[in-house]
Amino acid sequence: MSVLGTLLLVSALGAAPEPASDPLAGSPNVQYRVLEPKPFPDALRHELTLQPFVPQVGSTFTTHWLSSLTYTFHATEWLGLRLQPFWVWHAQRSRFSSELLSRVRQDAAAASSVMLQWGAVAAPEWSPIRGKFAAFGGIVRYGFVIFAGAGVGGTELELKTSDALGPATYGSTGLRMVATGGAGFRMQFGERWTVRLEVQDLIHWGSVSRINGCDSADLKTLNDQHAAGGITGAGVGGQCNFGAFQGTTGGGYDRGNDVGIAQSKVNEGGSDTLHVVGIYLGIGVEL
Amino acid sequence: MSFHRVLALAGLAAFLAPARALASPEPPVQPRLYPVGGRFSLAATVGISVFDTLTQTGTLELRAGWDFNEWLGLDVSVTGALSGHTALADRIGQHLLQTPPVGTVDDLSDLWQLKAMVLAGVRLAPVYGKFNLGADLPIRYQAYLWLGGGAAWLDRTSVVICENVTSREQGTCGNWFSESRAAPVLSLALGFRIFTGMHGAVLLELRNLVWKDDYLLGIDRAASESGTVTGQRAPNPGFTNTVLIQLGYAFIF
Repeated sequence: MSVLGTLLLVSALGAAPEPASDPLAGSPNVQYRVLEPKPFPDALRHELTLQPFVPQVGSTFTTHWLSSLTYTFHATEWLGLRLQPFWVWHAQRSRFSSELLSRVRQDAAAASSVMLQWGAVAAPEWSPIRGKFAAFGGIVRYGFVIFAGAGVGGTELELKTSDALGPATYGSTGLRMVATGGAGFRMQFGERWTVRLEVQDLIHWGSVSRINGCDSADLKTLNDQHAAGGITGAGVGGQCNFGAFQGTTGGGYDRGNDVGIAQSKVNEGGSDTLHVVGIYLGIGVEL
Repeated sequence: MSFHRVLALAGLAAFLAPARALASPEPPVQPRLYPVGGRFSLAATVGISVFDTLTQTGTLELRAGWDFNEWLGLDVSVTGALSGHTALADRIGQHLLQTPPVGTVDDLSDLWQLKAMVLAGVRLAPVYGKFNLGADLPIRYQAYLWLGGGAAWLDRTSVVICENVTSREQGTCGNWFSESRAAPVLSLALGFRIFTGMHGAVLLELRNLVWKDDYLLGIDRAASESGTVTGQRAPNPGFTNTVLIQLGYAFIF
């Protein structure tokens, strides 16, 4: 045994006390035990949780991968208020939607294909259940949390699909209200660190009435201009970002071709409610 | 860092650790109220599929289990299922039939429906804990991970190959092409046994089932509508993943 090892063993043996024996353990006269106070109280503390990789589960026509940062103010031990900005760094047509298009030449309705780009939601959070469990020789304290709230999000729609002419192109479908609801577990490790595992639904709804700010009449005007040789933007409304239909993509695709696609999608009509259900695994710090 | 500094820090850590233990002694760990090691269990669950795209499934399962110890068990189960197409699948078939039967199409993936299944697997339950429901109702539970496999009996009804078009305008078919097979299935589950007493527990599970897909490519629609199904099997059909939420009750003997 090394000198260091011997010293550690001797010091540990010399200093470690006998574990305190519980005088009431096994007593037939004791039915109830005093509740143990929370070792790490949450009230009036701030928590920041980073969920770096959130995959969408159960997607139908679109697939989202996003990152999220959640700030939670714990007003009491049971109630908190969370503010959660998120950024969708990968949103595209789902495998099923691509299969539908390529195999039976059917495409999802525009209103069912709107994708979230970014957003922020606020929600009160309730921790109705707290507990602890023994696992792998240790004790982990946790809370079950549920929350529901609302916010806003930026949305977009695929126009040209990815093909030999280049990658897919997208048009903005504007800001939408986003409702959210979710539930999960929050585990505490020590005084500061937390791990959260939550399932959260980001719900948005509506129709596609404008693409890049241009309504059906604007798009018809732009389409006529494109057919006549060039998009000038003359005669369209002030909201219409006709510049998004000018120029070419890196692959040489003429963005003017998107005008006709956008026009047909706006003219489809209809509306839908879309769910982006994600698995949010994050690590947090409590301040 | 020098050897002496390491030594000093290690000694300091060794003395500080017991000092904290003295200041705030951990409460004694209670023994498990509901031990399961060495016990036999019988359970029944009902389940529904979630994240349905083309098919939806409801299940009824009977399960027998043996717990070798407090954290490792073995389960064998028999499942019957009611399954069918979703409204989306029906709409896809209807819209396709409303178009003229020209050229070839490929059938869609993930259309096999579960009819029956036999599974065996191990249950790893490293987590035993409790939470309070309300002010004074402590609930004990076990959380487990389940991994196993078995055989599944599957049916498949195409939404592309119609052998008898009854109305082109309405997009209705009198006889969609269907087939059956048995296939190996893998299953992974995350679940909870929420104890109601020494001899029973509520089961709550999220279970996925994975089997190899199989479908036809290059189907001549006109030929299939006259009763001759053409095309070839997909060389790389991939796998179908079905997710179930199951709820049930286990009797522990």
